Amino acid sequence: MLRGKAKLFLYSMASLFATLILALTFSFAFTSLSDTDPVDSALRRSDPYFEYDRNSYLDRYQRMANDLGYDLPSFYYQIVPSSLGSTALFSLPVKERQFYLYWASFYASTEEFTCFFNYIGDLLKLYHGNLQEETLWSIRENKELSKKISIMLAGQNNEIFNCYPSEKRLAKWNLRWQGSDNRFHRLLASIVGVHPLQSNQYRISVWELIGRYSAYTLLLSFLGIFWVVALSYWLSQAIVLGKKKGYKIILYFFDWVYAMPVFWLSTLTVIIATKLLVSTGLSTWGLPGVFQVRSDRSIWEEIYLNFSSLFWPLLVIVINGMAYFVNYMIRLYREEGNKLYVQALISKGWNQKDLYKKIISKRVLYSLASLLPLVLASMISGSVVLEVIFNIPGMGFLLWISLKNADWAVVHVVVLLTALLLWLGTHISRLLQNKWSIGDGQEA
Amino acid sequence: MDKRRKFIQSGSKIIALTIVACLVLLPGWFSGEMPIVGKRAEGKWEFNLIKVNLLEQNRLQGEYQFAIYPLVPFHPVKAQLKEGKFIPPWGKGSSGRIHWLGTDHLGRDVLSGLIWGTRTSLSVGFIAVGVALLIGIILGAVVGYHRVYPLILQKLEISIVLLAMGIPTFLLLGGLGGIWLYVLVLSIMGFYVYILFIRTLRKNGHRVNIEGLTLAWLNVFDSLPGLIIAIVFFMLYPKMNYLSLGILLGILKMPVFFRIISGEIRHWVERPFVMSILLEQERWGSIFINELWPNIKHLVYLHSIYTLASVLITESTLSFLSLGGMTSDYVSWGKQLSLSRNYIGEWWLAVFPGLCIFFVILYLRNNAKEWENRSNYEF
Repeated sequence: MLRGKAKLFLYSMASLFATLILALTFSFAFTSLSDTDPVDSALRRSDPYFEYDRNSYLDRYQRMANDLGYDLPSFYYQIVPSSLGSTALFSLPVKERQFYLYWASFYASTEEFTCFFNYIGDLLKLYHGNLQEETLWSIRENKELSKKISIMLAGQNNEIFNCYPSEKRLAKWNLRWQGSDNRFHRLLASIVGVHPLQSNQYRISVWELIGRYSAYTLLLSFLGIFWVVALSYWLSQAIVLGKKKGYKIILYFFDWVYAMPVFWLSTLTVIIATKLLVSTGLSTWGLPGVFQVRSDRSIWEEIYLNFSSLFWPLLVIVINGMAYFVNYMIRLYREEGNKLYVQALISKGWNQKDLYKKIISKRVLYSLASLLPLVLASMISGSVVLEVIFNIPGMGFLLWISLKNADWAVVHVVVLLTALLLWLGTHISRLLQNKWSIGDGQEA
Repeated sequence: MDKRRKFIQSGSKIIALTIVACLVLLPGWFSGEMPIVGKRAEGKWEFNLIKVNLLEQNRLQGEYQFAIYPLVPFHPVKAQLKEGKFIPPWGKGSSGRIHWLGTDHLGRDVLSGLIWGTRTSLSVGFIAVGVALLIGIILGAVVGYHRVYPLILQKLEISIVLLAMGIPTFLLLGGLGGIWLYVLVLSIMGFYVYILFIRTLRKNGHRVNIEGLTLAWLNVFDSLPGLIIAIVFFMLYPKMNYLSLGILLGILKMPVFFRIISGEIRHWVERPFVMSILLEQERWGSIFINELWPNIKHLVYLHSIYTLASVLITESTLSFLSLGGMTSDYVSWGKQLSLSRNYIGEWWLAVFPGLCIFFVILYLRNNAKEWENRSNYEF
């Protein structure tokens, strides 16, 4: 019978392989569906507003904003937070409205068709005079007709806006693994086999895409974890040592936050932030979704802007994370403080403050540190909601957008990666727990 | 004073639960565009549900004696563009009726959507908890028992179990993947099987380590990100209704119950009183029901409350991303809230559905805490 480290190692390897198998099973289920629906593939053509090169699409935004007579922040406020650009749509002339309709048709899922057909109905009203509400309703219910209309709009606008990437860029991005010189790449491509691991929509390698997109997610989750741990360490120690008198109010607040779903918290944050900052004209600082990278700025300015645009999502992460962590840490402190050795040290004349700062907090931090890999992994894999709401171009956003566009190659890799990350997180934290003998000595 | 407070607390709880139960079971009484009408024909009363438009026509002819409107006389899903878009809370629509919580971009009443959404959101939660409980209890009871009294299997039986576990995977992979994938997976599976079974079989006297087996599969379960799997399922099958959503979420939440029940049963089976009953060779099922279930049911209840809360959050997250149950008839709190993603200026679209979710989860959590304190169980 295997024991100790060998057993641990074998179990972890076994569960890694099993994870891989299941992840592959799930992810390969998508690849068979990639080209089944011609309507979907017609809709899947690239998006005029989402050019891959960030500089160029931000320039495009700028140009569009100039054309429409907006300044960029208010353009973002009206267009970018809404996937349908709905707030601005009604105030626009017909040509611009068609322009946005293409955008809308691109993002329109079955649910958002409700919205979408409202606009189409308005257009039809403009063209055909009076149109009854009942007719609109029947159009919405008729799926075939609705698809035809969306294709019509897509095709119509595709002629107007030639949005495919240039040949030069295509050649740069054309990293087909099957035709690669690298033997290892070819082997991987033949193992995965079903498709050349190339994104349909962006026409670049999926790995490159994910590599670029994961930057914001990693940044956000590392920063979030740092602030959550630092603040909750400080606060819980202060509460346990009895410094803060009004701590009960804080704990009640965290209890309430605990019951709030993250997406509601972040939606409220967006609403409050936009109401506070944009409508009062105070500043455009920290607007959700403002990633203004322009070539005329210095790199420090860019870094400052990027970090400042992560302010609101970070705030949500910190509030939500502290609601989980502060209670947990206080409980850990109290459990540790009730142990016999602490009482013995107190009876020997140790100061309570010194005891907590030098001995107990170290033990608490160990058990916290053993949890961190798991928390990090689950943060990265659960970043979809935050990134969608705040329009952060991270991995979750990529997953969401590629699911909407039936870009199964990207979905495949993102799911696989997140599964692997979670596996790694759970196992590293268990190994750490075993090493530091935290908890009831559970084995992996 | 204390008695009075207790009475008020329990009374308010009962009233709140009754209202919620009514909302779930009979949403049509509270909201909808079909009033109940009555007419007297040949000395007898006839009651019917009828559409508002028809009623207004008929009322002119004086066919019906009375009509009882629902509290919120608006359809939850159907677009009412004539009524007026984005009417703020307590504003009047073109029909002259007050919209208590305002309307959305299609002129639909928010409160009506919330009332019908109660049924969907809560029933998804209850279905998911039911499924998770059913699978978790059965698997947990079996595995917990065999943790103490190891299962002894012959080689043939082991291979049958393995086939049962492997067949779906193989079918899926064989159908979808190429030959290389097949070879890769076969070799990995072979390695996996070799480690987990053959080695332990040789050294352990033909005892299958069912604990290790199940824990390994549960590790796999845990490392698949649940929300992402659910999202992907909904993209593949966008027409899932709340029944299938509940079943899927239940399967994803199952490991919690499995872990708790198997651990608890392992803990209780080693007690002398259970051992003595086992020696009397009573059936395992009856021992489980009569002796073990009373000892673990408070824990199961507690975790079902927590799971209910987390399922509510997952469902609303899915519908918030407009991925869950995307048919046009699907209406839930999360889907109501998802509108606020597009319309930031209209705060009432975000606040009221969010408050519904928030209060239900707060209630569930407080209830669970109370239960925890009462049963003096520490986590």
